[in-house]
Amino acid sequence: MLELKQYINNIKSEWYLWVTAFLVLCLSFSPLLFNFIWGNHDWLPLIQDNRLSSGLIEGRFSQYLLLNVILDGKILPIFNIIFGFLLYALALYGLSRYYFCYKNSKLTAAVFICTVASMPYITEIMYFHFITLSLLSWPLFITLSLIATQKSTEKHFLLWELCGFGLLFLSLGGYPGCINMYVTAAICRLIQIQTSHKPIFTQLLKKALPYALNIILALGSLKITYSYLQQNHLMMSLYNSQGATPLELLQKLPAIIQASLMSFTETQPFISLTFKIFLSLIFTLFITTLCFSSTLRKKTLSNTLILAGLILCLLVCLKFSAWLVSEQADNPFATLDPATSMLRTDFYSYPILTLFCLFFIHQQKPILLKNLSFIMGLILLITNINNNLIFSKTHLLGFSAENKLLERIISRIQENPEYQTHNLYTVIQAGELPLRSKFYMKKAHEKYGYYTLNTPYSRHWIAFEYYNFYAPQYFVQEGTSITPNDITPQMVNYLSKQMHSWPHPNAVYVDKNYAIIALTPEGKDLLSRQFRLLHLPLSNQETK
Amino acid sequence: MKEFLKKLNLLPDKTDLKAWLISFCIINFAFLYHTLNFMWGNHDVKFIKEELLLSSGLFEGRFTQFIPYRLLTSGQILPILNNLIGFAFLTIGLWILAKYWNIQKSLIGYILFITFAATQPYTLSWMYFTFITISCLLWVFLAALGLYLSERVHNASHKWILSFISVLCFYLTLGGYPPIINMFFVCLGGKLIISYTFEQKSLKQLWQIHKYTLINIIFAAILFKISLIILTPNDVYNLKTENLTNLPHKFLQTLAIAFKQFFITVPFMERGYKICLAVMSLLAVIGTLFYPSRPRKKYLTLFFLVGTIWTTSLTTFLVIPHTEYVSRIDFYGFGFLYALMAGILLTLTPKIYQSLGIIIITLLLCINILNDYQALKIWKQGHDAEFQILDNITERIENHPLFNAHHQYRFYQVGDLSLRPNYYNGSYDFNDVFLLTIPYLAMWQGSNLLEFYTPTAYINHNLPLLPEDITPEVYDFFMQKAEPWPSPNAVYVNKDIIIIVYNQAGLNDFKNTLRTLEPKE
Repeated sequence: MLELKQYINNIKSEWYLWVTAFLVLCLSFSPLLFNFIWGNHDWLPLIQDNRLSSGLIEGRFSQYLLLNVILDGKILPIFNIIFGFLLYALALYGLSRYYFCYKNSKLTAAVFICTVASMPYITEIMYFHFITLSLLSWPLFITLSLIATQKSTEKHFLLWELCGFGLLFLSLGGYPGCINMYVTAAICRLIQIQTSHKPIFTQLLKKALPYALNIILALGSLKITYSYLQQNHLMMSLYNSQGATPLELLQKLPAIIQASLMSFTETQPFISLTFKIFLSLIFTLFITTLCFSSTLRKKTLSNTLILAGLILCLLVCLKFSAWLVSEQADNPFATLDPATSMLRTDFYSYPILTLFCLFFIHQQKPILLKNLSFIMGLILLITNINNNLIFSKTHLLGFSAENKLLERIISRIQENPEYQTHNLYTVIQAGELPLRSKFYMKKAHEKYGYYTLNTPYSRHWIAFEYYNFYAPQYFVQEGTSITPNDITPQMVNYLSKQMHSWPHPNAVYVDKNYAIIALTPEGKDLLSRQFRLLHLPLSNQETK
Repeated sequence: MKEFLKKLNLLPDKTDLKAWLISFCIINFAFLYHTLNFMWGNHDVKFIKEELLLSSGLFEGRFTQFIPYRLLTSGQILPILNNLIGFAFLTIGLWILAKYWNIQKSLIGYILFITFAATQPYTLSWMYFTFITISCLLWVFLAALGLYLSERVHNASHKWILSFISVLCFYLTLGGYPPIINMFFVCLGGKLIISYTFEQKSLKQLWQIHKYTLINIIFAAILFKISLIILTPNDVYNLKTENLTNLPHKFLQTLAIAFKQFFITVPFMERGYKICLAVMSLLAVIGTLFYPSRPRKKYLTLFFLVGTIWTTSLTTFLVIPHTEYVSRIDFYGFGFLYALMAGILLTLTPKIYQSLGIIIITLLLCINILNDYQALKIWKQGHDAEFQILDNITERIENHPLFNAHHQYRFYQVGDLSLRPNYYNGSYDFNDVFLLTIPYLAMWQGSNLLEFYTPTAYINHNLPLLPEDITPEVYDFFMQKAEPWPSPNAVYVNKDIIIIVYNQAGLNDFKNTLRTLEPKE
């Protein structure tokens, strides 16, 4: 109890560290704070509340816990984001101060925490409102879990271990990808122990065991929970919940290490080359510092081997979640970015590594290293803020452009002579038009960026959600397919002969049950092909 | 670094830091509505989507204009941060100026001086175009720094270093926006008045101290001219300087213009406000003239005052284009004269004068903020109204039976629409386009604007409207049927061209052009 009081007092006295990180996050995403814009899964959750059970379908049983506790399950403008930022800033402060136990000058610590907090991996998390708060809260849960696990090696093993496990399990229940943070931070801590003045292998092992136990327990419990949920038909078997087999794990190992290393150089939208250069520089400087640290200066083979092994483990841990999941993706629900390149999983590993590296380098004696790490941190901070604001601007303008397009489509539907005000329509939207990329100058060699840049705000399979959003009364019903009984000769004629892609006058077809929108030439062709396959017997009959 | 700043007396103490922070917050509050509503001017359309290159300003001789953007935001125009960075530079620039002018140091005094100077509606003129906001507010900081360091050269042990830095400051600002020269001389004039009158410095001493400032400015100006010769920018209007033989005649003209600035009203700086500013200035002038006891000193002070007022129109004196009563020029000229008057009021003794100064400047600060908010409300309404028309035009084009989104059209916008004035019911003697009338949907930006939000790019940006596009059908349409927006005949689409008629004046001009291209049947 006394210790807890001490923690609270420390947090109070060092408020400036997490408050500055919080403010930097607010500045980085200020256009999204002051302009309420949302992702393609948010249309319905914005109107209806998110129930506790809403995430069960993909096994995310604790996903809406915090949202329900803090905001009663509602997505509220500004609040949704600032609560998330507060928790994330607190997590990074806790991690550096109480887990890695670094003590630096006020300014250095503030710059490092701000730099890490604002790393643009966070951009992908800012796209969907309905998960922003939960995804930003897991770092705090995991930090507490890590601190508890660390405590378990000192006293009350069972109690602290149980706390550590509980917190980790809760976080994995919200987003399994956050395991990356736990494993990355744990390995970093082991490296820190190994490079301390008197490294003893048995001591290291003793420190490592509680972490390993926690991971096995948490992942095992997660697997059991998934099985239970699936047995009770509460959860779908989706791409993001299928684990790899032991053989697969072994086979994937080289590719995962390669992907981890590639992530230091490979650019993505909003993850600019400057950012990657500084990320690589910091990691390289960290490795160099490690090579010249007091431990390795002793040049004992065992020490060298242990550190090399830990670095290798660290590389696997950076992509731990991608390593654990099965490669088989169940399209169309899977994203187009491979699991190894998803920013939201990297969000839980690379910033943690950077935080550790910056503090580690700064702890070294040569003043040059101290200054170098500070300057690199500062430049990275500026780069981060720029990258995040470029993302926010693109998000803002893309959202406006797509909404303007939706308005024009709706007005075309409602101006159609066949449109009846009191009818309920099934909207068949052929194709999607993501427009964010219009406002972003993609650089050469930039890959991926599904959620950050390429996904549209209006997914064709949830058309009813956004077409009804601003309508005075619901005119679109759930559903995306045409019932054979409803097919009229006019529809056959339209789909087989007259259909053109938007904005052609024949891009929109309306009858008493359906509104068909051919949004893109690709979508139009696909719909025509599907319709031909489906409707061939009927057309033949008509011809006869 | 700390030592260097300490030596220069530029290391901020607690009062300075507090003054920075509070002033920065007040300035941001004054323009908050603009910061939170991402609006951009007609030059920004392409840059919002793409990025500013170092070379983007070269064509008009603004070779340093985009250095700050490249260094600070990777060439991007970033919502919110754009204003925040600009205001941060403006705040620190005005703080340096307060130190340069030796304005009596107090938290309230510094805050009032900085915020009054920064929130004058002249600042609005740098917010219409987002692509120059950061640079043009940074120039204030650099110019003030250049002046401050130049003054320190006299007593410095390393004269060359300080001179080099100040020449660099002057050179960078001239390369970004040459009318900054107004600020150099208004601030220098202000310094001379304050030193001569309040600090009791002799003319000889003034010369000894400030000759370095003159030398540095002249040196920077020469470098600037050489750079222009090397870079050979296009023959643009804003680089045309006056012939030497015309200057004597122009001196009297500009002297009159400089004094008229006290009374000429422009949008958002109306009669009542100008009178308040004039009263404040008059009080400061009276206070300054009555400060010295000897008549000779009084006359010389008056001479300095008149000279300083004249320098507010220095750019108008030096260049051919009409730059009088233009807010963005006056931002660097008359705006700083008002700041000087405020500074004098806050420095004058006896104490009663200072108290009176605090009251008047607080009042003026409130009026400044109200004027800014009125302007920004009108800007936002105008911006929304113009972009709504753009949406409607896009819809009209998309619904046109002959329109094919996958075709490349040659495009022409006939005239333009400026809707901000529709929401303004004030009166003014002289219209300032940047504050009120310049349209968001400018004629020359039509093609970029039309495609700004649309899913497909259907305009051929490489090819303008061609004489062969004026077929008999097109000719007849525009001669007989075409009408300005929102008439059904405001949008013309055929298989090759798209033409939109925005206003009658533009249509008349277009008809005149068409007559010269009348097709022979």
